[in-house]
Order: sequence, then C-alpha cells, then structure tokens
Amino acid sequence: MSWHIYDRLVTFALDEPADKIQQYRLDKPQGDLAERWDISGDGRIYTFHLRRAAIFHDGSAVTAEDVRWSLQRAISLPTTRFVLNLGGLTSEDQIKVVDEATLTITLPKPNRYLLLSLSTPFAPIMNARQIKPHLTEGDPWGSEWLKGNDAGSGAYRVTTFRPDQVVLERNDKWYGSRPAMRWAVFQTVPEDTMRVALVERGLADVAIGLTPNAIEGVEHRGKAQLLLIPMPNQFEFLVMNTQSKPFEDVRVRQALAYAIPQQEIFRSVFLGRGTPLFGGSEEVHGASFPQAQSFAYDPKRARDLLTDAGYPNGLDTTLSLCTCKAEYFENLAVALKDHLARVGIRVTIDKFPGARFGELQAAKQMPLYLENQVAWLNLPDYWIRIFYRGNTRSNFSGYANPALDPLLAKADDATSEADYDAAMREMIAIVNRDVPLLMFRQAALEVVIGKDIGNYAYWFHTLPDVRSLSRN
Amino acid sequence: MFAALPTQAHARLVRHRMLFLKEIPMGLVNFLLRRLLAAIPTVGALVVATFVIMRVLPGDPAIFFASSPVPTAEETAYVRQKLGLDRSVPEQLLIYLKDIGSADLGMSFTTGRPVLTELRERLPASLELATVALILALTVSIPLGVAAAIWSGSLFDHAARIISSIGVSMPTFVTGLILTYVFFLWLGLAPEPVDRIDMFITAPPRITGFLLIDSTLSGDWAALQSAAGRLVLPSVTMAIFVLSPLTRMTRSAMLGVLSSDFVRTARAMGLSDRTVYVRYAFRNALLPVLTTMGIVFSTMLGSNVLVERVFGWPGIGSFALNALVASDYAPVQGFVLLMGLLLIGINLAIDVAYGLADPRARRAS
Repeated sequence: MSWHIYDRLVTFALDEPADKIQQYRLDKPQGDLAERWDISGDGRIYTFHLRRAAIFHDGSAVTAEDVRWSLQRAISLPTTRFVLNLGGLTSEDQIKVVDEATLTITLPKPNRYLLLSLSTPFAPIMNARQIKPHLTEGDPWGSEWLKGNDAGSGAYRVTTFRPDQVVLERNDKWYGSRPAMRWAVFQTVPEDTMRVALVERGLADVAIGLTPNAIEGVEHRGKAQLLLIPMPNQFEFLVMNTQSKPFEDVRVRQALAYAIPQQEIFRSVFLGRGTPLFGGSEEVHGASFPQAQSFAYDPKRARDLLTDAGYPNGLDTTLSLCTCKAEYFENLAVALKDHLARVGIRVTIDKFPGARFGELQAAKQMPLYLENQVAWLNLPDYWIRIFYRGNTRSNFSGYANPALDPLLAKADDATSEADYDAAMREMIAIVNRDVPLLMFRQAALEVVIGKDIGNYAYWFHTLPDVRSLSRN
Repeated sequence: MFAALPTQAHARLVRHRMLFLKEIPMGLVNFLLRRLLAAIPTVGALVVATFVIMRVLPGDPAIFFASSPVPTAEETAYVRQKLGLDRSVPEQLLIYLKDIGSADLGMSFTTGRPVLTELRERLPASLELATVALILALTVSIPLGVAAAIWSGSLFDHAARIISSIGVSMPTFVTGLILTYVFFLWLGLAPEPVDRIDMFITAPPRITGFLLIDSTLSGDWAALQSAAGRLVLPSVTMAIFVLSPLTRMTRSAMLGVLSSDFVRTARAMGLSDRTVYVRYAFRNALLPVLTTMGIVFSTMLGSNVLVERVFGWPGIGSFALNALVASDYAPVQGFVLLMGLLLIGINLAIDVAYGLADPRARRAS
C-alpha cells in the first residue's frame, strides 16, 4: 500500500521485461522524488535535488521541509529506525534543508546503505504540512491519523480502505510515467486456491501468496499465466542452534550437511523450481550472497563426522517448523527426517503456530528448524551482518564468530570494489564452512496473472507493483 | 377493540385476554430484570476466564508483532509496552474491566483498528448470514417435520430422516466447498465467493448493517440483487447443517402432541383435521422447536468460522480465529464477551417468546 500512495527519495531501475517479468536492479539506483543527487568527494555528504514537478495528493508541492520531517519521523519511530540507522542516518542534525528543493544529508563516514535505506517503505515522504495539525502529545508523528488518511504523493491514492479491501485510484498528477491501470483493488480472499480460480475466471488479474498446491494445473489449463519469479534476495534454509548441544559442534552441523541429498530434494520437494544453493565449489567465487554451499551428498562422511564428534550411535533431535509456513516446509521436513535417519540422526517433527514459533525462535529454544527469509537490503554484507552475528532474533542460529566483525569493518571501510569483494569472500568462506545455516535454494515466487497482463515487476519487498503492470 | 359478542363464553374469553394484556408489562419486566441480573455473573466469569486463558497460552504477541527486519530486544520491549503486556496479569485484568465499562475493547493488532469497531462492522455480516440460514432451514424443516409426524412411516418420514442424517454428517466446509465447486466453478451460476456484495457495486448506506434490509430501504436494487446472490450459497451450506436438529425436533414434538389427550378430545369432538393439526397440535409442537431454534442460532453464530472462511465472508468468526492464531488478545476477548452477551440475549428472547406462547411457563416463572 505504502509503495503505491507514497513516493520515496530514491528507487531502483527496473530491467527490461523478460518473459513478462521485470526485476529491480540493486546496482542501478535512480531518483524518485529526488531528481538527482550529488555525493561529495569523501563520500560523506549527499545533496538531493528534488523534482519541482512533484506534488502531494492535496495539491501542495513536495518541499525539502517535507522530506526533512518525513526522515526525522523515520529515524524517531522504533519500527522504522533500524533501517535508516543502517544507512548511517541516526540523528535529525544530519539533515539540512538548503532551499525549497534541496537538502543535504551528512554521514559520519561513507555508507553504501544510505540510498538503499531511503528507497524502502520505511522512509516514505509525507506531506508534513497536512499532518502537522493532527499531531498530539501522545502521538507526535501522527501515526494514528495516518492509519486512516493518505498524505502521500504517489502514483495512486486511496479511495476505499477496509481491512478486507482497499481500492486505489490513479493519481493523474503523478510526476512519473502514467501507469496503465486506472483502478487497483486489493481484495483479501482467504483461500489461495480461490485466488487462482478468480484469476482463471477473469474476475481478478493478479493472485499472490500462493502455495505450490494452489498453482498446480494452472499451466495445463491455460486460462491464466503462471509466473515463477526468481528471488535473488531470498533464501530457504535449515537453522542449527549453535548455542547448545548437539549443534554447537561444527562437526555435527557438517555431518547434517553431508547427509542431505540436495539434488534429489530440489527435484522432488521443490519440483526443480527456484535457484539451487548447493553444489558450489569449495573455493568461494565472487562476493555475492547467498552463494551455493559445497556439501556434496556423502552419508559415510556424515557418519564419520558424527563419530568424531562423539555420537557414534547417532543422536535424537527435533525439527520444528511454523504452521504459517507449513505448505512450504512440511514436505521438506518429512524428506529431511527420512534422509537424516539413514545416518543415525533421529528426528521428531514439531509444528508451532506463528506466535508460539516466534517466541521459541527469539529465545533460541529450537535445536533445528526450517525458515526462509527475504532480505530487503540485499547487499552481500547485509546477510552476514543480520543472519550470522548479533544478539537479535534474526541471528537464528545464535552464531558468534569473532572473525566476522573485523571483516565486516573491512568491508564497511573498503574504498574499492576489490577490497570489498576480498573481505566478502573471506566471510562467505567462513560461514559456508561453519554452516550454522544449511541452505537449500532461493525460492521462485509463485504468482498467477491473467492472460492479458504483462510487465509484472519484482521488487525487494516481493509484493506486486501496480504501477508497472500493463494490459494487452 | 370491542366487537359484538355472540355468546357468554366469548365474553369471558375476551375478558381473560384483556387481563392478560394488562398483566404482561409488570410480569415481563420483572422476569427480564431477574434474568439479566442472573446473567451478569455469567458474563463476568466468561470475561475473566478468557482473559486468563489467553495470557496463559504459549505465544508471545510482542514478538509476533515486532515487525522490523531485525527485531531487537528494545523494539520488542516497546511493542510489549504498547500492548500493555508489561504489567502483571491482575493489573491488566483490572484495566481491561475498566475499559469495558467505557466501551473500549482494546485494539486489534492484526488489523490495527479498535476491536469494538471491528466487531460492530462484522457482527451484522454474521447475523445476517445466520438469520437467513435459519429461515431457510425452518422453511424446509418445519413442513418436513410436521408431514413426517402426521404421515409417520411414509415417504415423508423417510425423506426427513435421510435429509437430516446427510445434512448433519457432512462438515460445513465440505458442503460449502462442494456447492462452490458445482455452482461457481463448474456451472458458473453463483457469483464469486468473496465478500457480501460485488466489489464494483457501492454498498447501500448503513442503517442496520443487514445488506438485504439496507438496500431495500434505500431502493438500491442492484445492491439487493448482488447481496442476495452472495447470500445464497453460504446460507444454504449452513442451513443444510442445521436441518437435522430442527426437523427431528419438529417431528418428535409433533408426534408427542398428536398422541396427547387434548388432541384426542378435539378429534373425538369432531373437529376437522385441519383445525386439529393447525390450531392445536402445531402451535403446541412449536414450543420445543422454539427452544431448539435458540440453541441452533447461537451455535451458528459461533461456529460458522469455516463457512466464513470458505466464502470469504467478513464476519466475526473468521476475525476471531485469525486473531487467536496470532495471539492477538483483545479481539478474542471481545469476541467471547460479545458471544456471551448474544447468547444470553437470544436465550432470554426465546424464554420471553415461550412465555408469551405458553401461559403455563409464564405462571411457573
């Protein structure tokens, strides 16, 4: 929603449509409300020049003061603060309004996350003048008023807003190239098979949130198009709790990695869809993440490792998953249980509903569990930063390797691509060898669209973008 | 209204009726007051029990709702504080009871709106569905039950038994899915099972919240047609399920009444079949059916979650279920409170109706 009714300072370019799908280009930032920007020689000062043509839905111009207020809001609210802090923006003193259409942001040191953080829905540019009359002591940033009111400048504005249904109408005064769709209705339909049925009958154009079950037969019936969109910022993996037995021992973790026939699982459980994250070489190539791990199927080696680690007769453990992701992980869990049993790892499968799973996950009380994650800011070092260190919930395995922090610092301070890549390669080698997270694949996002729909854009947030859609 | 009175007997009858009308107000008010007073501890116990259970169940909502990419301990603590969960349970209970007093049922964190607003918007949807389903069920089950009793052992009797058994042995979501498949996907006769009205038709202005009534009152025939069309499949699904208790109760009540003394007397006195069945037997047989209707209606309101899910119906059942799975306390508590009040209200209404219909019950209370 926020994506459509608000604009941000910067965004990314979209690739040319390939097979009806357009991917966003992380390496091609382009201006959204900022027409262009200059970066000082030392990389610390960003000067944003705003588009003079941009106006808010209420007709007033987008000024630098609105941008300043919006960013200050984003830094102050606990729910949005993190992403901006990552970009180096921690205090409102760093933002200065130069004139109506120019503002600068000064960073303590160069930070490759600033532009990224400003492109996320955590930093929408809001109409400060419109919101200010509604601020209260208890709500200094207008969050209550904003829940029911649209203070944006985006390509669409809200016409109806109900929990089950949101209707957007095209904003013909938007600065950008005019979207093809005049109306966009977002309707909640509880059953995913019904969502697909609606698209096949021509009563809806896009169905999302689909499981492999729901998309079966779509291609065969030919009444709608099935898109299987590669997700470069996602991965599916097995978490091993490194803070307690038995998985605190790297040998046990590696044993598990060798015990799984990834190719077979990719074919039978994932139906060959997505991008495999296995079968890589031992030597790390390039600095991209996630990168294919190199544990070839070797049950004998798995058994040997277990014996080395002190489990000659195997071990018993629990494999957990969240019922909210059961459609994705149920089959995988069963397949894993079967294969692990062959090397003596006896697994009981445990399922928990969302809130309970979250609680156990935060307390790191599950020895083994299946998870998938989407990283919005998927620079290579982001993954290491979030998933492999720190005391937050996202460090699923509780992994703590002192070698990583200095390498991350090196990557941060790297002035050349070569230095950054070198630091990354070292980090990737460490985490792939230590395997606190055993990766399976990057999923293919299942979306069903009508036969006449084209130009489906894939963004880092994985949700549909009506602005790019076209109808033939 | 005074009509010419042909006989003395009639005169006595009218006098009795007038006395009855004068009697009702005091007796009824007393009755209602007593029942409402008795209801308060029940509702109170209900609220406290739900409150405690929700907090004892595993699942920490603060963690669930902390939504940033990297939920830190600080953010979780902030969310917990906003949810009011950082205080002790008895303290939370007192705050909640105080809030209920000022009609504040808290916020739903799954939808971000006040619980009272959600329930107020969604209750008419569930009520309308349950009411229409009940009416549908009654139009089939009462004639069927009566016919089965009068011509006992005949085709009607067997048909009644078969229909009841089939209806109650299929879970509602199976019936719902089958009907959707046949009438929507296959035959294309039914509209898509999403919501109460076509998304491109503006809903009529909200007077009662019942779309059928509101659209008739504002003369919006397109809305009426759309709302009625979408009511068909879900209400038929629910009606099929409740046919069983209603049919069987009608049949057995009717059978019981038909073999009673006063019916035998009436027949012996030579009254026509029609008079016996309609004026005497049927009206007496309705009493237990009334009670069953109350039970059935209450059950329908609470357990139509699956039907709401299959048909995308924006009612209170699916709302409460989603909240429960997400450990969102306030909606679940609000739902239980609402259901408790509704059930008490429905039973009260049934008792009053019973009292009006049966003088013996009135005297006994």
